[in-house]
Amino acid sequence: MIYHAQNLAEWGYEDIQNLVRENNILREEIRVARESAEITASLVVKQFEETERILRRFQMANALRTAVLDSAAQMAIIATDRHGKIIVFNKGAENLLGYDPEEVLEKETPVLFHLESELRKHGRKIGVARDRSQRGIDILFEYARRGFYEQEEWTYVRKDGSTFPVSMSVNALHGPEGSLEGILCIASDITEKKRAEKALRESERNYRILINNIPNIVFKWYPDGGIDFYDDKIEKLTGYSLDEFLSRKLKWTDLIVDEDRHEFKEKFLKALKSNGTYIRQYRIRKKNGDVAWVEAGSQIIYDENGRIDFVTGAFLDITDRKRAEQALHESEEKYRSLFDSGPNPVFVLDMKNLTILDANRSAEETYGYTREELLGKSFLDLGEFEDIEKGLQWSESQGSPEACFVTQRARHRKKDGTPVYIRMNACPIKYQGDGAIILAATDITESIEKDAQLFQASKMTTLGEMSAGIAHELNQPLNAIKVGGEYLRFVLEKGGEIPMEDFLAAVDRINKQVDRASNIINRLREFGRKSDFRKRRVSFNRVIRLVMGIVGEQFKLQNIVFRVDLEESLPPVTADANRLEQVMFNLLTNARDAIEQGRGEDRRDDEGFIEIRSFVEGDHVAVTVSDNGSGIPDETLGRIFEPFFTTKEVGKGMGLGLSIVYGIIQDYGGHIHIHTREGTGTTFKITLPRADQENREETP
Amino acid sequence: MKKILIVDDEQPTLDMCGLLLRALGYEVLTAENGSKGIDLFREKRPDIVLTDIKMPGKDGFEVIEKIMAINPHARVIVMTGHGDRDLAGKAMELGATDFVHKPMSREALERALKRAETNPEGDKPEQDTV
Repeated sequence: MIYHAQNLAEWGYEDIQNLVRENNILREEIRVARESAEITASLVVKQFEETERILRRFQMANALRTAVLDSAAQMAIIATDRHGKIIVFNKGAENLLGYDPEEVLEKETPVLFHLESELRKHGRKIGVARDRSQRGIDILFEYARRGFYEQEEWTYVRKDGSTFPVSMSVNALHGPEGSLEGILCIASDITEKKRAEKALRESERNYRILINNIPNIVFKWYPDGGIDFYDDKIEKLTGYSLDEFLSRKLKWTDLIVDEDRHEFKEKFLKALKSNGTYIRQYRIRKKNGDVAWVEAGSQIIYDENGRIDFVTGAFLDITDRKRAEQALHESEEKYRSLFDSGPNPVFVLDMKNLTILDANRSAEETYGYTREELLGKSFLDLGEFEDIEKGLQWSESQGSPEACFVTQRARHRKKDGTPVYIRMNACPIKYQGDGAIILAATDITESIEKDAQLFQASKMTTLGEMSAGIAHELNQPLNAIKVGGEYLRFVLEKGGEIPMEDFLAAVDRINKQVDRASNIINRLREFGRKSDFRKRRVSFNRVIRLVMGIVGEQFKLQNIVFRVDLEESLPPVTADANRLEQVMFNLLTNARDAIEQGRGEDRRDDEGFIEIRSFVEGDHVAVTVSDNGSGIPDETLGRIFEPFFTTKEVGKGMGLGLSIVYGIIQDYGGHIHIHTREGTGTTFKITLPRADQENREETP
Repeated sequence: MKKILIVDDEQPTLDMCGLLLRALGYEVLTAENGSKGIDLFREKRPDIVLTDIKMPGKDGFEVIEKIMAINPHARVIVMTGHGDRDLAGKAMELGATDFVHKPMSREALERALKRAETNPEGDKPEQDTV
C-alpha cells in the first residue's frame, strides 16, 4: 500500500485514525518482513552449511568408497549400470584380471571375465539360459534379480587368457523405486585356498593310506583309559571290534596279560619321569583267548597345564617276530648244545689269521688245552693245516657249500706233545658279523694207526713173499764169506803158506761180502720200517733205486733185466717215501708176474725186461714202468684197481697190489695211466705234482 | 790133478771156491753163467762140475741137462740154498751127482767131491735107489 501526505489537511480523525492504523500495520509488516528476512537469511546460511556438510560427507564417502574398493587389492569389485556396462572396476579387479580400468569402464560387461560355458551352466542351474540366444550378462542380472547372493565358485579369465578360480557373489543394485539399476560382483581369488585344500586333501589321503597300510596301529590313549584307533586293524590284532574300544566298553589295559602288567606300568612311570617317550613289549590276550605280542612306541602329550592330555603312539603285532626269536633262540641253544656236547672237536676260527674264536669241550679233551688256553691261540699252533692258502682264499667264494673243504689228515700236537691225527672239515661262516671258518675236526689217530698197521702188515706180507728171494740173495755173500773162511782155515791148519796176494784177495772179498750183506739188510730195514705217513719231499729216483735194489737180484734170476732211464735232475714230490716204495714194489712185481705169465712154461729163458723211466712232465713228475709181459686184456682192464681183483692163480697175491697203488697215488694228488697191449706188454705211468712248484702260482 | 769146473753167477763165490779148491789140490775152471759153463765143459772136459742152480740166463738145471747130454757120466755137484731142497731133488733127477748147501763148509764140499770121485763110473747113489 502506498501512502501519500499531499492532503494532510483534508485528513480527519478518521483519516488520522486510519493513518495510525495503517502505520501500525506497516510497522508490523516491516517487523514481519524484517523478521522473515532474518529467518530467511539464517535459513539460507543453514542451508548453505548443510549443503556444505553433505558435500563434505559425500566427498568423504566417495574417498572412503574408493579407498575401500581399492584397498581390497585381492578382491575384484565390479559394478555395472543397468545395461551391464562396467562402472566400477577396483584395484583388486585390476590386479586379478590384468585389465586397466580404462579398458573396461563404460565399455565392457563383466561377461568378459567369464567362461561362456560356465555362465550357461550356472544359468541352467537357476533356470535361465535355456537357449544360446541368452546373453551372458542377462544370466548375471538374473542371478542378482533373484537374490542369489551366496558366494559361488566361478572361473575368471584374465586378460592373458589364463583362468583362476574365484569365489564370487552377484548382488543387485536397486534404484530408489526398487528398479534394478545394475549389479555388483564381488570376487576373491581362491587359487591358494584351493591349492591348500587340495594339499590338505592329499595329505589327509596319504595319511589315511599310511595309517591303513602300515602294520602299526596308531592309537590315542586318554588318561581315563579310553583309547581311540583310526582304522579297524585293531580288530585283526585283538579280535575285538573297533567300536568296542571307541564306545569305551573296553579299556586297553583289560587286554594285557597279568604277568606283563607290572612291567607295563613301570615303563610308563619311568617315561613320566623322563622325556615321555617309551617303547613297551607285552602280551595281550585276544578275544579268542590266544596271546599276541605287542610292541608299542608311545609319546605322552601334556596339556598347557602340564597334565597328561593323552598318549599317542602305535602298536605293532610282533607275535611272529617273538616266535621267530624264540625259535632262533631254541635253535641256537640246540646248536650250542650240539657244539658243546658233540663228540668231535669243533673250532670257530677267524677267517683272516685263523685265530681260535671258540672251541668246544671235545676240542679241550682232544688237545688237552682248556678253552681259555685255546681262545686267542692261532689254530696253526695246534699243528699243520693243509690247504691253508686255499683256506685263506675263501673270502671270494664265501657261503657256497663248495667253499667247504675236507683235509685228508693233518698231524697235530696235544698240549703234552703227543701227536694226534686229525681230519678236518672246514666251512666259511659268518660269526658275529665277521668272516670265520667253522672247522670240525675228527680225531683219526686210531684209524691212522689202524691204517698204518694194515699198511705195515701188507708190507710184511710183501717181505714174506720176498723172503725166499732175500734168503737166496743173502746166501750169496754168506757163501763167499764162508768159503773164504774155510779156505783160510784149511791152509793155516795144514801149516801151509798162503801167498800174500791170495790172502789179501780172500780177506778183501770177505769184507766186501759183509758190506754187501749188510746193504741187503739195510734196504730191507728201510723198506720194512714203519711208516709215519708224514709227507716230506721225496726223490722218486731214490725210491726207484731202493726197490730195484731189493728185487733186482731176484728178477735177474728170473731172467728179467731192468732198463733204467732216470732223469737225474728230477724234482722232488711230496709224499711218504715208504708208501711210494710200496707203489714201486707193487708195480715191479706186477710187471714180473706179467712177464712170467707171458712166457708160459716152455719159454722160461726168454728175456724179460722192465723199463723204468722218470721224467718231468709240466707240473708233474712222471714215472713209467713198462714190461714186455702178457699185457692186460680189455675185459679186465676196467677192474684192475678194484681191491681183491686178481687174475693170478689162487695163493699168488690177494689182489690188493694195484688198489693200494691207486689209493696212495690218489692220496698225493697224482694220477695213473695204463697203456697195454695184450701179448706185447704194459706201461704204467704215474704222475705226481712236483714239490718245487708249489709257489708257482704266485709268479705266473 | 783133477779138473773142476765151477759155474756160478756170483763172482765172489767163484773167486773163493777157486782159492779153496786150488788149495785142496784141484785145477779150477770158472764160468760166470750157464752158457759159458757148458762151453767150457765141452771144451775142457773137467772131471767134476760144481754149479749153482739159480742163475740168470741158463740156470743150473739147463747146465745139468746139457752136460748130461754131452757126457752122461759127468760128475755134477749142485750148490743150493738151505731152503732149496726141492731144487736139489730136481737137480738129482736131472743127473746131478750130489748137492751142497750154501754157505758151503769145507767138510760138506770135500765129502761131496769125494763121493763124486769114488764113483768114477757114474753110478750115482740116487740112481741106485731108483
